[in-house]
Amino acid sequence: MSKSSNNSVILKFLLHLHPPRIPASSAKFSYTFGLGGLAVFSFLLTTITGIILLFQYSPTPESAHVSMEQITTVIPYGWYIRNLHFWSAQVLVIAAVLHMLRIVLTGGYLKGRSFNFQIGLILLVLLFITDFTGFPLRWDAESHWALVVGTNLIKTIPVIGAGLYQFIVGSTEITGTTLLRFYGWHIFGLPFIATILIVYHIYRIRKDGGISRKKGDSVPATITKEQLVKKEVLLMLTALAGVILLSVFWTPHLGLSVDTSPPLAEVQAPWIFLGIQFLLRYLPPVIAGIVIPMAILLFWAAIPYLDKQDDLQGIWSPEPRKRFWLTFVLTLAFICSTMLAEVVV
Amino acid sequence: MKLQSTNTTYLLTAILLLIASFLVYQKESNTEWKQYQSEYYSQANLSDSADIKIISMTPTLTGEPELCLTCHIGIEQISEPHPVESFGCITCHGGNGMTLDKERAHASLIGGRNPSGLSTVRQSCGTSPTGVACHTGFTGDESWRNMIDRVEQSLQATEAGAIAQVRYTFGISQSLHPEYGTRAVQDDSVLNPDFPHELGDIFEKIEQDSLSGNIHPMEEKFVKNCLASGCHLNSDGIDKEYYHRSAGCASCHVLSDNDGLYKGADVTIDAAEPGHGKVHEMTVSIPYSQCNHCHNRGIYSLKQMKFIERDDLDPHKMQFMSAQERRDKDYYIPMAQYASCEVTLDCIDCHTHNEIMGDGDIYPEKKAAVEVQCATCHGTIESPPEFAVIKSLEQEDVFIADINEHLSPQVGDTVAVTKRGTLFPSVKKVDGRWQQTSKVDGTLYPIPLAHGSTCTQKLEEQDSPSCHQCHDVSDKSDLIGMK
Repeated sequence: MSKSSNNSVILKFLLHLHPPRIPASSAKFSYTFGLGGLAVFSFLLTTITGIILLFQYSPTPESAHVSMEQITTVIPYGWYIRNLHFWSAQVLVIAAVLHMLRIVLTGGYLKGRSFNFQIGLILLVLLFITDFTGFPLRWDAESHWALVVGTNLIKTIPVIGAGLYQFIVGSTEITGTTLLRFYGWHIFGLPFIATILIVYHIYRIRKDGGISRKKGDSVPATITKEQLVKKEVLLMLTALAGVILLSVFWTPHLGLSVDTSPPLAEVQAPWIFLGIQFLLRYLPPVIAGIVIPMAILLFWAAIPYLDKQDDLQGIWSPEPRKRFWLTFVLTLAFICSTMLAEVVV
Repeated sequence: MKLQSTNTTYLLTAILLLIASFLVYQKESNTEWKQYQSEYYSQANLSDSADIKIISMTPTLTGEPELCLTCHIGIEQISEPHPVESFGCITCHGGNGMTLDKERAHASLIGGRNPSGLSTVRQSCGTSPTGVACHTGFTGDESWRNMIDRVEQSLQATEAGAIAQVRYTFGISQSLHPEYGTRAVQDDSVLNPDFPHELGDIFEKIEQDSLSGNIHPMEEKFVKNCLASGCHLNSDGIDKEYYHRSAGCASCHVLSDNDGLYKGADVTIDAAEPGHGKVHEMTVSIPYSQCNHCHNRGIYSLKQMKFIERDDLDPHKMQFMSAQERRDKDYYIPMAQYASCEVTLDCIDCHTHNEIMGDGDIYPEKKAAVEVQCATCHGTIESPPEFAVIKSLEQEDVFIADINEHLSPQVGDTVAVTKRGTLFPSVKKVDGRWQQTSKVDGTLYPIPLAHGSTCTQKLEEQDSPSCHQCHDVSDKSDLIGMK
């Protein structure tokens, strides 16, 4: 690898990000499916397209929807940037959830990695909130009413609900300032915190001895940094092609502005919250919207403390049973309720 | 081997990226508005100088930019008094002018493709972005400008006389005084105390009768066969050769071709779909052919309680006739009598705006609404036509006449007057002779007067059937073919 002297600064930097020793078993695609990398790439793509959209989007109640129309139908390639932003964000959510599942099912949180697991969990929650704050920026009738429903949930939290609602919404009801607040959180507050945590999350993997692997692999076969980067770039390019194709064939919905829309028969939340929306039909808001999501979150956070069988790290295994079944049932419940919400609507 | 397979994967990924990027370029190059513009330029034989670009226009009345013309690039200006630079599209049509997405742009249109239908006309022709009243909302001496109110209460919209007549004939009502119209209307300032103050909605009435099980079969049949099938301004025309027209104001003011097809330059309008105006233009020069999209198309049979279409109009035979022959044939149903002037002039040359659009009162029947007589223009055997001198261009009848491009009324003109005092600026005395200007094409016609002629018509018999006893050019041979 004498070519390295000719490599650009960027490549050098990229290589520097990687650990010196890379066990072949950890870097195998069938072990990680590249999900963490995919999440990082889609985060970058979402950020870049988001920055481009900043120059066209206007976060005031009078002009927000008009600027969305301009981006989607008037500005050359505006639809493309918006679609890329939307689809890379969806890929990010899916990649992050699957990455989390992979970590749980291969015991990636074991052997002192539980702290980084909690960081990942916080990142997942941040991601969901960022997704939710991006939705009302469309400022169309659907997203407006979803915002009303979503934020009203906060009010149901005992004791702090009313205060928290006012802090988040910026008033006692949804107003123009709500849009500005959500915009602020969406383009700066949340991504800023997320960027710091992502950097720390990746640094911590290296600090914890690289990607988790099987016990007994103490002197494993390794691959070079260049080999790994090559794999990563390939994954990135494939993902990019996929997101572009999604953007060409499916344009995310944009409804009518609140003042020109006829009354809506049904308001639909962003798809990742459809499960909660479904539960809301049958359970009290505080149970469906707060208690159940918090319980699921707490369960995920508790996994490293429930399972301490370090020797099972690095193996795709249904053992120990509780880990597998609980994850399986919870994930299935989430998928089912989301799908039911889609079907029943 | 391993390296080779990685390189192949890289190559495939690169190809995939190229394809995906090409598809992005394709999608951007073929957006709907770009397709419409290329089609427009190619139809106008301007492909070489085609300048495909977004067309944004800010009408002076709204001050808000509109992108509508980006797709509707070839559309005709609706009329000179409504210049597109001032009105734009949204003032009348509603909709969202800041998007190029067809569905969202059109989602909040007022009344779909026709904003002048009587159920939506107040939102379109009745309002203006500056808050100034348009075609309604005038008070006092200017209340004649409330065209919307006048039309809503006119016989062409209410069909009050026909409804009252049928209800009386079948014993549903004991009097000929109208109680129902095709829509509920109310008149707070009735000029004639004998006229109705309000009318109920006949469709609603039938629905309630049906729910209560107390429905008169003939009334039901009448509403279903006659009123619901498009014979009043509250409905669209029938989707059939000759019958095409819009609803509301556009029924008369937007001319329809016999085939109901659009013949203008806006490529977004499907030129093969009947039910559009001939072009996107409103006019006050309304030829008889527009009136004939409803009138003179057949007769109503009380016995069968349905409309019986005339069957003497064979389009194949008629295409070999001269324009006048075709007009003689087309103008009136075969059993009608008519004088030569009636098939030479157009309907609006004789019938006043009060008769056609109403004068604000709810008229009980057609006869009560008619104010024009043969004597209005021709005088009687004892005297020339009644006349008046135009004092101001702001006078109701003069103002309305002035809108017509073929008329140019002037203060001081001596013009004919109907028995109710409506001025006839198209019929005036010039150098001691009476002449009429066609409102449709501006042709000048000298008016023969009864006074000093061989006419022997009694003074008290001035209705048209009396005059038609002598003055009748209708072809009676047609009656033989009439069922």
